[in-house]
Amino acid sequence: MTSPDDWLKPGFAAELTRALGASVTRGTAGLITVAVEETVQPPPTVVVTPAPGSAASAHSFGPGAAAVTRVRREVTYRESDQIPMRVVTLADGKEVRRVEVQELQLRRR
Amino acid sequence: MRLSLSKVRFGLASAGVLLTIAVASSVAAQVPTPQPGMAPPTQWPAFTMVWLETAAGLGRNGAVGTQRLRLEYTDQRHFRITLLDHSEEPGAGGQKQGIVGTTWTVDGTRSIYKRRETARSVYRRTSRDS
Repeated sequence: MTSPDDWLKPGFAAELTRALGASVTRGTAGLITVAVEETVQPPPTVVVTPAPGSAASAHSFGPGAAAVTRVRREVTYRESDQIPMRVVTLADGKEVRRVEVQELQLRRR
Repeated sequence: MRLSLSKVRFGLASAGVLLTIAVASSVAAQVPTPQPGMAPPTQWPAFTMVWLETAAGLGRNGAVGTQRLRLEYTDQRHFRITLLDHSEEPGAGGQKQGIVGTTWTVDGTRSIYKRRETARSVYRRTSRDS
């Protein structure tokens, strides 16, 4: 993922469709949903070893043996102009983010 | 209590600014690429969009919260994003306070951040000026 709001850029739908393992579903009312799953590795655990003779004890920080996270992203957009209408993000099957377009009005430039 | 509320508001305001910056930069930075089998994306038409976002982290202490934003999009270099509602800043009786009402405008190469003036900010400004 490039940015938290990368769904809001022209061409993002096409970019997502090219992702490895992307599935495309054609829905009703001219909408298309692209779903992509990826595995997110936790950051590594860092172990700090004190210098010899130091009073400090060795310690570590980081997630330790945290499990990898399976992230699924579903983007629904209009086929005609590829404007996104819905974005759903799930982490390990649990929905963590939903964006729903409530109003859309095309304007003249 | 007053101090902690101020801190929360400051935190929310900072988050709002970061959000709008992220949205603005991602909208502006992308160069669209055609995709076989799909309608060529090229440019989006000009549009106005209102969306509701529900996500973990928008509430206090990482809780789930909601926010509603409006995007007035002309092209990748000309658009404006306004925060309409936020679950942590409910507008009472039409009052707009805190981060609600803030806008981020990109006009060509200029980026302008504006915070809607509230009764409190007007009071502060006039007190300072007098």
